[in-house]
Amino acid sequence: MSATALTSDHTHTTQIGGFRDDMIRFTLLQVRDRALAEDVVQEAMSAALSGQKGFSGKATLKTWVFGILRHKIIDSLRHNQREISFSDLSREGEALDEQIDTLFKNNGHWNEQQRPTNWDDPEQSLHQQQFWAIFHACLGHLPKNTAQIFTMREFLDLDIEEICAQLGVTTNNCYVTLYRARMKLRICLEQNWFTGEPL
Amino acid sequence: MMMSCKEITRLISISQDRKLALPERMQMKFHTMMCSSCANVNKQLGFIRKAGKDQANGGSLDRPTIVPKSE
Repeated sequence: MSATALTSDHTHTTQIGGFRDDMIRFTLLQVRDRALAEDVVQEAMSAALSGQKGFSGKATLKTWVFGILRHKIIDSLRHNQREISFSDLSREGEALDEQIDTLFKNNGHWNEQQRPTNWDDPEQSLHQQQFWAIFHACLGHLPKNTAQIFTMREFLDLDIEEICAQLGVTTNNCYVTLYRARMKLRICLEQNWFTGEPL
Repeated sequence: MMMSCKEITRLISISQDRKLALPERMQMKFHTMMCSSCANVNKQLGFIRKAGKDQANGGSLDRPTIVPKSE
């Protein structure tokens, strides 16, 4: 191995270590048990450290490490995730529907005061720490099972069939749950970030 | 049959999870052309998806530029 390769491996090792907090935070959004989340992150870091040659440099190192982490989270969910209880999910749904229903009049058209606004340059928010604090707080307000389905879909990019099969939920229930989660998140972001009023 | 805004928002969400059938796609397209509130929902849900992807790729907080995800 050449001296340059050694230096670059060494730098990567230090960098990968520095991602740990972000990795834990991301994993905790999906695996709600701290000890399990730490195990998953540990496994992903070991895999990244021992597989550094697989890093092509096409993406950033962090993006590459997070790709490994997502696979480890998926593995862990496959092994540890229990099926969702239908009545729990229905209860969550009823509570969310109550709020979503207030957006609309009886004929299904928007209530004037509740019309969705045009978010100004939302992409720019992705670089702001306060935005992420609010995003995580909004996610945290989603009921447990609803959040599970949402993060499997949006963070892990699993398709509906796989999510339904794994959680024992019907396809239709999956679509409806994702609708509720997204609507609840957009309400939360609109109220707390895009209009700038306090949480 | 004309769909209500509430029904259209459901369709917008479903369009993120499966390919819509042609009639569904047309309904959604025509409706969002006429109704800026539903068009806003479509943009907002697109942004929420983008934020999720950003997180899943390690986040753009510490990075000055967003690096596209490698396939």
